[in-house]
Amino acid sequence: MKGRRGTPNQDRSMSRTFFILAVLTALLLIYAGYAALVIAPTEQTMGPVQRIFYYHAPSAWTAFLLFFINFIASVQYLVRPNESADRFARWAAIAIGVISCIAPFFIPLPAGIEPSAVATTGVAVTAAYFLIHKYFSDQGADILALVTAEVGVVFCTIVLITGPLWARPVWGIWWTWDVRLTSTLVLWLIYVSYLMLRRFSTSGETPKLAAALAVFGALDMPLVYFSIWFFRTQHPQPVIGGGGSIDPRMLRVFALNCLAFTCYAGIICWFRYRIERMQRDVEETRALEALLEPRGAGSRGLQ
Amino acid sequence: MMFLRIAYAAVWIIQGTYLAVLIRRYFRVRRDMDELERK
Amino acid sequence: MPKPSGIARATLVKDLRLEWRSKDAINAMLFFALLVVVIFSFSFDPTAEESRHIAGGLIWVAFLFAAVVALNQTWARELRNQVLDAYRVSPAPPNELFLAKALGNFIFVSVLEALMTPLFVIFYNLRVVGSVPQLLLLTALGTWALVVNGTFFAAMSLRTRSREIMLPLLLFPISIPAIIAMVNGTTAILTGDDSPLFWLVLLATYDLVFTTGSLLLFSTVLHAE
Repeated sequence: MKGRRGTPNQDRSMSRTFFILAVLTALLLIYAGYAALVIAPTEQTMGPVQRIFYYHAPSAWTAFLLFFINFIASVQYLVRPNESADRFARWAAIAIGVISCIAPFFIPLPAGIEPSAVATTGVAVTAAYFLIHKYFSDQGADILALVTAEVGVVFCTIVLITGPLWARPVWGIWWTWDVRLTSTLVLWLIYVSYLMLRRFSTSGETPKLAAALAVFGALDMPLVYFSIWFFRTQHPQPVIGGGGSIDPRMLRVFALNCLAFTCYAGIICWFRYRIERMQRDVEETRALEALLEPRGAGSRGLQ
Repeated sequence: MMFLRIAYAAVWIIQGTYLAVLIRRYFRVRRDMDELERK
Repeated sequence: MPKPSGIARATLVKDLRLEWRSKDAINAMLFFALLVVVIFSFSFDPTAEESRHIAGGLIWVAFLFAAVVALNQTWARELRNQVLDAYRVSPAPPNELFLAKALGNFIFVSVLEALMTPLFVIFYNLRVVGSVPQLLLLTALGTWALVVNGTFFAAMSLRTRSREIMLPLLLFPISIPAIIAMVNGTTAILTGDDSPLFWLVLLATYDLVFTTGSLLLFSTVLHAE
């Protein structure tokens, strides 16, 4: 391990850039929290409780972003070993980006969906795919998937806890099987099962299995959303979070908190990524040493 | 409002707990790396 | 070299024959499902009208648990006799093996459903108001949805600690849209209040998506050791 990747010190501590960014993120979070509690105007019908929205919705946004990255990283981990699959996936990513920039302007979209949003999402898919391809090795993609799943579950938990805490004082009920919150619950369940597979699997190829599960989960989510949506149209109930237009000042605070949470998620993921790398290095070194140990010492435990 | 305070507290307790767990793991891995270095 | 599809067919026939001779799994599943029905009967005491509204949910929960019992032992026999290694090196494409296993499970669970349905009709005084062919189609689509993912996740859980609990842990969250469709579709047909069309289309889509996904990814799972 000495001298394998630069000096030992470089291996084990977080870089200075990390600490600077961490401090900046902390300041951003504090300011965003202040904005949510003080600067944002009080909502007319719901009162001060509505401010939970500035933590509930940005957490959801961050969780979805993280799970999105997990999906891309999982796909990469599955296709990269295979030349033709890798090429196919890269062209598919480009195609998604191109089509999403053209199609929404010619095809009628369901109500409430902007063409620019579709285009941005499509380009984001392409960009994410190629960025991850460039900057992460095969094993790096696997660690990225693990990290984003873990941090995503943390943020998703926050969404599921703040949701009912908001619903109870406003609508009088803790839970209603409304589309968004229930879909988030299912997403949470799927990713918790993902983490359990990671933890309990004794296979040597756990990363591949987990990646397959992540792909299944991603395929499942549209179906989850539609099934719950249709169920809701048959049995309508209040929608947590409401719809409708939003005051521009509130929108600014919401965006600010989204940015703050995303930065915080990035810092945490960076930290967790480094920890995982170090952990795997340690395990690899231990395994190597156990292999290279002379027989007498190694079989001590079996005596 | 009580629910507002509980919600904000919950958010930071959850984030804080996860962060604490990560920090503890970080120092444990560093300790393991040091041990292996010394051998 | 035998034709690859011959191997798949041989697998299916072997599984069915083994099961027919020992009736291990079928007996266990049947008894388990009966117990579930009886216990649910003690929890609810509905009128004929009410029971039509809740029977959909109860039936599918019972079928779900019974299917898990069947799925858990899908690969267990293969594991015991190192048959999996033979499959890995055989010329048969992994997909065919997967389909053979899934079809075998589908047949087991369908037989179970056929045997349990009269019990449900008796215990809950059920009478189908809507169309029976639609109900049969719904049941077939729903059973396939459970079985295709179940067989896939059973293979995934082979090398995990607490294998038996890992399968439901993985299967249930992913199956939620299918379960919603099954339950609501069954209720719609039993009560005759709504059209089950949307649920049938959803189940068909679900089946298509996940059968394709399982076929594409099964070789990855089979070779994970």
